[in-house]
Formats: sequence, C-alpha cells, structure tokens
Amino acid sequence: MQPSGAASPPSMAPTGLRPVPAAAGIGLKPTHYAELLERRPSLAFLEIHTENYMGAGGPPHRWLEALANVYPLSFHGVGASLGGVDPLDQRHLARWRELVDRYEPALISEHVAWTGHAGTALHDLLPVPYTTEALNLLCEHIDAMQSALERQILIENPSRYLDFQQSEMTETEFLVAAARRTGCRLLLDINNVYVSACNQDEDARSYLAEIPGELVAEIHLAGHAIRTTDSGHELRIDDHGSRVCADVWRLYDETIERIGARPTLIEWDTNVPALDELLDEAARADAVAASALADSEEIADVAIG
Amino acid sequence: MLPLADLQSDFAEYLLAAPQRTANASLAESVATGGAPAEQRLAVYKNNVHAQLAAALAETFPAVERLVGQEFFRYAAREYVGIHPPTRPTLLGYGDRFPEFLGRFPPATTVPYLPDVARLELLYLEAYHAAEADVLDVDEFTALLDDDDARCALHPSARLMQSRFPVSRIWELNRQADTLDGKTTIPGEAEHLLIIRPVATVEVRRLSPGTYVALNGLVRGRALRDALAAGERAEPGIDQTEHLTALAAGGTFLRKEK
Repeated sequence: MQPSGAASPPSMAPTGLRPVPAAAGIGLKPTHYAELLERRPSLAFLEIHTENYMGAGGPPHRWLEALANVYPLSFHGVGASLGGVDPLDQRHLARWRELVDRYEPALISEHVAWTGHAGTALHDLLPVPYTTEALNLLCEHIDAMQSALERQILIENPSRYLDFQQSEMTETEFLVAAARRTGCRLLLDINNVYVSACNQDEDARSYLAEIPGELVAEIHLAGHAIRTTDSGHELRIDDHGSRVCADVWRLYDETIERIGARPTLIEWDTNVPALDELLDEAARADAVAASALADSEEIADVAIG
Repeated sequence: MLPLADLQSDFAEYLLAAPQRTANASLAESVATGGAPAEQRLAVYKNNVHAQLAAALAETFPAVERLVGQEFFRYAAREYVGIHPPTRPTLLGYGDRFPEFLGRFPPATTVPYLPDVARLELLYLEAYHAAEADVLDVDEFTALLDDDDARCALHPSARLMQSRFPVSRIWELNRQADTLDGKTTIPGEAEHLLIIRPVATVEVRRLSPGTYVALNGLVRGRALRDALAAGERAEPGIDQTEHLTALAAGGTFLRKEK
C-alpha cells in the first residue's frame, strides 16, 4: 500500500493466493450454496457482503470455506461508512481483518458512502457531497481501512438519487482524487453510473470517459427499477432485482473496448433468481467482453496498418 | 450551506423520523434543484432504510411475520426501528430487543405467545451463527459421571428457554409459508427447550422440566453431580442421568481442549 499523496496507484498487490481472472463472477447467495458446490460451474469469482459473514461460526462459514477451495473470493463491504464523519468502527475493522486473514480474498471493496451516524447504523449507502472536506475525510478512512487490513481496497461509485448544492467538484474528480491520494483503486459500477446519470439528467458516457482505465480493478453490473414519483418524475432505483438493462450492457461493451477486460460481477440481491439465470447473465458478460476486446484489437490493427 | 457533519446529522435524523415527517429546511435546501423535487429524492433513501431494516427483521422472525401478517409486521418493524435503531455495521443479531418490544407493544397483546415465538427465533439465529466447537461423545460424558467434582459446559451454540406456551409447536407450524395461520389452536402446554447447533444444523429439543433445571445448573457452572441432583429434585422420580446421557449422544456438551 502507498501512503496518501502517491502520484500513481500501486499494482494489484498484495492480493490473495488465488488471483481473479478478468472475467465474470456472481454474488454468492445462501440459496445457491449447495448447488454451486455440487455443479461447480465455471466462474471467475464469487463475491460476498462481508458483513453477512461476521458471525462466529455455523453454516455460513462452513459453506464459504468449502466454496473458497473452488473459487477466488471477493469481499465487498457495505457497512464501513468510509464517507461518514464518525470515526471508523475499530471492532468492525478487526472483524474484517479476521475474515481477510482466514479467507484471503483476492479482491476487497467498500463504498463511497456513509452508512451510519453518531453510533446509529442506517444500513443504506448514503450520499456524500463532493467537497474537499468530504474528500479529506474519505481518504483518511480509506488509509485507515487499508492499514487495518494491510491490503489495497477498491472503492465503488454510488448510485445517486440526489446531488448536493455543497459539491465543489464532479463525482469522477472526487473518486479519481481519492484513488490517486490513497493508492486504492476503483470498483466501477456501470449500473450505478447509469442510474445516477438518469436521475440527475447527466451523460453516463462522458462520466465513464473521465475514469482512467488503469484505476479500475473491478466492474459491477446489475439491474434496476424505474419508479414514478408523486410529482410525476421518473427515478431509477438501484434495487439489484432484475437482469442488466440494454443500455448498461452497451456501456459495459464500450468500457471494456476502451480499458480492457476486468473481473466483472453480476449483482442480484433482491428477488434472487435460480442459479442458472445468474450463470446466464455471467456468460453474457463474458460474451460482451470478448466481442468488445475483438473490436478493440481490430481498431488497433487498423491504426497500425 | 450545511457543513458536512450537520448535513449527515440532519439527514440521519430525517431517515429515522416518522414516515410523514419531511426534511428540515436546511437539508431540503442542500439538495440540488432540477427534475424530481428534493423531498421525493430524499424519500428514496428513507424508504430504502426502512425497507432494508424491515426485511432484515422479517428474515430473523419469519414465524412472527406469519402469525401477524406482513402488513402488521411492517408496522411493528417501523415502530421498533424508531425506538431501537441498529448500532452495528452488520445486521446479524439486529432485533435482539424485538421479543421484549413485542411484549410491550399494545397492538400485539392479543397474541400473548408472540414474544416467546420471537425469542425462540432469536435464539435459533444465535445458535446458527455461534462458534464451532467439538462435543463430548457418550463415553466421554459417562466417564464424567464417576467424578464427584466434574463440571461440564454446553456447546457454545446452546441456548435454554422456557415458555408457558407450546412455543416450539407454534413456531414449527408457522415457519413455512404454506402451513396453518396464527388462528389455529395448538394443543399443548408449557415448554422447556434446548436450542443448539452441535454440528451444522440447528435443533430445537423439547426437554422435561427436570432436565431443563439440570442443564441450567451446568450453564451456571455447578458441578455435574449437583446439577443432576437439582434436576431430580425438580422432577422427582425421573432419572436425569439417563436424559443427559441421551443429550450427550446427540452432541450437547463441550469437549474441553486438552
């Protein structure tokens, strides 16, 4: 890990014993434990919400241990509150550390969000204003988490339902600055980019173009819902409850063509479907990435020729 | 404009306030204008927080939800979250005061066994996530019976519970979505239970009152011989050694590390 202020991010080290291939994985759900272990379908990795494995023992750890022998793991946190004004919860970081030592996940990530305040945990990914003050705080917390785990972490761009008047910079400026200063990398959630852009009437393509490819260590893809508010406005809700939409697939295709393939998660957390449907989405992500890479090679050939 | 700490504090207060309470002026004015109004945008977060917490409670207390119905459960969850919001970054264990809350929640008093069903569900989940440990086999347990001073701890997942209702039968009937509704009368009486996960599966074992007393003695650190005697006093004429040996066969007592 590099200290804050380092000009460029370090390479992807130290990772777990098992590196993650730049291909598709799925979120691990208890309903799929047994079937995954029996069928062992080809997947680049399994991702868990770390907080769900913070119990002392029992079936969750028995399953995870068995599956860790088959697949690389990605630990995705939802409760560290890196964007919160409260100091990080040291007991929480200690539990994180125990899990990292035990399972040696290949990827570790958290969110650019706050999830609690003044001792109350709100369990939602709440938005931060893009100010220097918030950036300094976020960097301090990323440093603390990377030090506690002695590992590089990835930070994920949020899905936003509002912007703050307080913001002094764009979200991409904020994320890139945090990554450059702390040596962390980015988990680029393309569905979140799309949802936020639709909700703020912004352009998802220009957002993605502002993200330096070398900072991106993982991609998330998910489905979302469309709600009409009482005022008759449309808001997109990031509920991870359906298939990835056509626009997000297109943005994924363009992103891979620009930056190359990355470990890519199919996230599906509500109305969890049968394993086969998840595997089908993962296969589609691999197919889209393969065709995007073929396109980018063709472009390179033309440029050389 | 609100500084960061005030923005988060106002936002947090708004999220936990009653559903009809709108954001205060300084929070609402912090939201950039354009498209959907600030109040509707903020409401997405408020809905998310409460949907997520109600879902977490429903996952821990499925039989309670079955007994009272989804609508009532959501209402109770909303009230509970207002009084006892989560304090830890993991939702495992959230709802530890829900049984006690239901006991004092006036709309729930028509279902007098509801708090006990909730307590059983909570203990079930505690047992599910408890630490792993090895258990004594029957021979090892029997050997302890010859030792006057032997003490014998229970597996770390073990939880004891008593109820004046047939709580485990009510719970069993209401665990699955396609069984009976809460109006069904269940014959039965007071219960003494051991909730335990000796290996990978949580078991809810019904105990005789004397066995409950004996196990409770062991949990309190009494010598095995004294705990057995207390059990036999509580239920004269019943051989508690036989009951505890049967429990040992199913995996109940902790094997101490050598």
